[in-house]
Amino acid sequence: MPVQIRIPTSLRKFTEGHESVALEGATVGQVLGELHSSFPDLGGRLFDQEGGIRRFVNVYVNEDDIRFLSQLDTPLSDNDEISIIPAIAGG
Amino acid sequence: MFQPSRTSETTMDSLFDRIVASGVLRDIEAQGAAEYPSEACGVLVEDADGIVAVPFENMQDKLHAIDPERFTRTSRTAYNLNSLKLERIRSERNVCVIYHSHVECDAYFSDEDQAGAVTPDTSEPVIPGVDYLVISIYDRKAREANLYRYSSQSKRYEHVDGTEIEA
Repeated sequence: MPVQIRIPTSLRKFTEGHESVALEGATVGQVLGELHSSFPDLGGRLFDQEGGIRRFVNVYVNEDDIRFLSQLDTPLSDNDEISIIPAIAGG
Repeated sequence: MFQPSRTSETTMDSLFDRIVASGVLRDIEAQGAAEYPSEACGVLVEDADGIVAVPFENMQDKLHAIDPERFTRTSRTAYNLNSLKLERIRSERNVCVIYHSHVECDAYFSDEDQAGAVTPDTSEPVIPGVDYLVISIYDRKAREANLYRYSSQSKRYEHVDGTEIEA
C-alpha cells in the first residue's frame, strides 16, 4: 500500500505543485528515494552530500521525528504518513 | 519580572507594541528562568483575544545526545523546536512570532539564527510572514528583547527599528 508524503509549500515548486504524493516503500529512505526519482530537482533539497537528510529539513512518520527513530531506515507500515517540514532552529 | 523601560508609550512597530501590551514578555521571561541555563523557545499566537505565548520544548539536547557531530551545540547555545507541532498550530491559529532566549548574552540575531530562519538555497524565509523575537536572560532575569523581521531586499532578518526594550 502506498505511503502518503506531505510536501511543504516551499518545496512544491519541485513537485509540480503537488501537496502530497503517494509512493511505495518499506522504509523512509526507500520512499524518499522514490520521491527523488519522481522529482529529481527535489533531491538536492532533501539530501546532503552524504545521502542523509539535510540539517534544515525534518521528516516525520505520523507524529514521530525520524531523527529519534532509525533515521532513513525507519520502517513504514500501511497508512503511514510522511511529513517533510522545514526545521526551526537557531542559536 | 520583566518591566520594560522605554522612552515612549509606543514603538515604531504595532506588532511589538501589541506584544509588550499583552504581557507575554513576562511569560517568556518566566519560561527562560525556568529553563535556564538552556535556551527557551516557543511561538506567539495572536487572535481576537490578543497575543499568547505557546512554549515549545527545546529539543537541542536530545539531538546533541544522538548526533553530537551534526548537532554540535547543546541547549545552552542553541534551540530546535518541533516543526510538526508548529505546523499543526499554524494550520489553526495565527502564529506571528517565533521566540527564543539567549543565555548570558545579548538579544541579537546570531548567524545561527539567520541560518535557521531562511532557506539555504534561496535565502527566502522558512516561515513567511513570521517575525523572530530574541530575549536575553542574565542570571535568570530578562535584560532586553528585540524583534527581527525578514527584509526581501537584504534577504536577511533585520532588527525592526524601535522595537528594542530593556528591563
